[in-house]
Amino acid sequence: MLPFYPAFLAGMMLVVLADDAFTFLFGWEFMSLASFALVVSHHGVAENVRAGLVYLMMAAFGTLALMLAFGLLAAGGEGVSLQALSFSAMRAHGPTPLAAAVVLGLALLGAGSKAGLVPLHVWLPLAHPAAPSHVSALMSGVMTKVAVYGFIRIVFDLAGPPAWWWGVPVLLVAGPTAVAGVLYALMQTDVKRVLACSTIENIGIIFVGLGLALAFEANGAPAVAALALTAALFHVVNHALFKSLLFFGAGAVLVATGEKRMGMLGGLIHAMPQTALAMLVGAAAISALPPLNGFVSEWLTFQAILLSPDLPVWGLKMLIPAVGALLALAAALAAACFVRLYGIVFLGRPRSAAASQAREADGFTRTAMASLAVLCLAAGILPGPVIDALQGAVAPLVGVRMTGQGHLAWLSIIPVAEGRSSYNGFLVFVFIALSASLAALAVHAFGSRAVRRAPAWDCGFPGDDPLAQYSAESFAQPLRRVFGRSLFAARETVTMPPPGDMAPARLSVSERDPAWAFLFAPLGRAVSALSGRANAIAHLNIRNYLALVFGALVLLLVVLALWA
Amino acid sequence: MPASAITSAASAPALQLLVAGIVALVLLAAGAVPLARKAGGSALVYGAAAAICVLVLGTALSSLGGAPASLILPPGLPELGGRLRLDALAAVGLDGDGLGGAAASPFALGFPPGCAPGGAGGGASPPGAMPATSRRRNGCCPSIPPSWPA
Repeated sequence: MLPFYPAFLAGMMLVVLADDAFTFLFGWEFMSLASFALVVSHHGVAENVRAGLVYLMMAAFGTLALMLAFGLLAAGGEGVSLQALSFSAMRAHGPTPLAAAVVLGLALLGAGSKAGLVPLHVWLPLAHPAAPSHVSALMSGVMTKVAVYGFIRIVFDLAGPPAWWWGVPVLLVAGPTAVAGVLYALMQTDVKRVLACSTIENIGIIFVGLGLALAFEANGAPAVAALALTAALFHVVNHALFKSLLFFGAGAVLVATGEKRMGMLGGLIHAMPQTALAMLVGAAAISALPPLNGFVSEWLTFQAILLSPDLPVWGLKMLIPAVGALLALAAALAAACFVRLYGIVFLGRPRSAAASQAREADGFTRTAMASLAVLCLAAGILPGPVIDALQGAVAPLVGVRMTGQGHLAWLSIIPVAEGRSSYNGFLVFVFIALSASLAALAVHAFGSRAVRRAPAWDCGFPGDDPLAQYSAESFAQPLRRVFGRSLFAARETVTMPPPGDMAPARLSVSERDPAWAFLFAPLGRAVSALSGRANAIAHLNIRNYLALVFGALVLLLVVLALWA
Repeated sequence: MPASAITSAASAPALQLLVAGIVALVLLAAGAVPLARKAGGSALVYGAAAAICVLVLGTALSSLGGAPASLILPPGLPELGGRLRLDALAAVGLDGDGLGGAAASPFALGFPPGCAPGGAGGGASPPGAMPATSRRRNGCCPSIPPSWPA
């Protein structure tokens, strides 16, 4: 595993610095193959190998789509020259409107498959948890952002000015991605898998910002486009911070307990207080709670959504509020998801010996988590300088920059107009810190130290079993019943022992990912059937092979003649 | 344009520094092959990766407001070379890369190599299905009894 780690980092950096299609795709493949090797680093587990193969297939598909996109972008130049593959040549001539539309679709497929847009997300909940935790953090927190970078570079920079409708497909994919991602996360019982699925949700949020930026830029509102693009880039930074933090926390729990199953954890706040605090910051940040950084970027996205009535196109006027409603739903579900994750893993009592014997993480791990937690808080309290720093990237892409935020009084940010909206993370932080401190002082000053012990209410069942606590499955049950039955075909089966049998009753939950059921499984069956039929060609005699070659030649000549 | 090392704009040294960082990571990957089996090899590789990522992060942060710089390296396609460009968007991307690497590398130092993530919890589940719920352990905490509560 060790050699692939720096190779993975190098690949991601090369993609970002590339200024021609060949270097970009070389770096992209380098990144994909190195991360594949890291995903299958524990190849003794069969499921990890399967996850790696699914990831490899999706990565190859994504590269193919990007290759075609770059081919279309390079085809607009005069003559046949490899210099047409440089990004400067692509910017200089620009594609035709039809080619640009196809490039948008290919970029959505290519970059979207790597980022985890629904329905191309299927590799992500498999591969991210299969990798070691620091690699999971990089894949989820950084590699998906390299894919977002690729999308921005192609669509905003190379594909020319957007048409009025470019934002529509992006928004149509992004809104459902945000909701589906967090619903997937709510159904999971593996800590790392919850985090991986939550990445899908956050990619949806980022792409909502990008879709809004395209829609506003193309419809003559570059200032709002700058706001939306800033929100997307801010969320890119934020997600890299809190998702890395959360994966580190999951890794610390895995090392301390050997468990990723939420049903076997619990009560870790006592054994791992520093990890618990860092995870609390990460969970609050990803749930978009002020004064942390996740709130700021989502709030900026909503500010752009609230400006959609100013758009001249009725379709967008109706679509964007609908996407805003999906975003609000995703934000609420994300809060429920991370209350569940944190509550089950860190609160309550240990549900296993592994959890009861856990010890605090080592110094390296705690330092890494603490650094990211501090950055989450800093970006939430001081969003102005971050927004200003992003304007250098925003201005060349949409033509204008947001007004400076870093110099405003009391560290406020005013993205649109003072009378319309403003936010001050610093004041929120001071208010929360003061009110919490005063509440703690009041409790200590006036509260009784006497401990009153009484038997806990156990619904009439005797015994004091930690397994009687709220579980990950029971917490998610209401949401699973509301959303899961239709979207994921969720089924709950209760197996009751016959009378007299002392065996416990068992509840099992089965779910189905519609992307697998309705897209990839039929596709796999079709490929299998086609390859089975094509296999007959591999066993011809020389005469039939010659006839086949001749027939193919004639067919190509006919196609060429018709093309001309 | 011939494929040769050509730079433009004032912040070219930043781009050269970033290219040096990528080359260093590739060399580190090659060097990690023999180091992987040696005691302290992981610490050396992850420590060096962290240092390089901090360098990349610092350079990218300083380039956020700078003018775009480009560089053409000889390796690459004929007539094209390997073209690299550092603009503000690339700097934002590199900030993410550098920050992620700078945080993940120290974390990896404390992560035991035998802690297979696919162990407890069954690793990745079959496509489209619920995660496996096997009780298999992964060796992260082998001293813990196999079942609890009784």
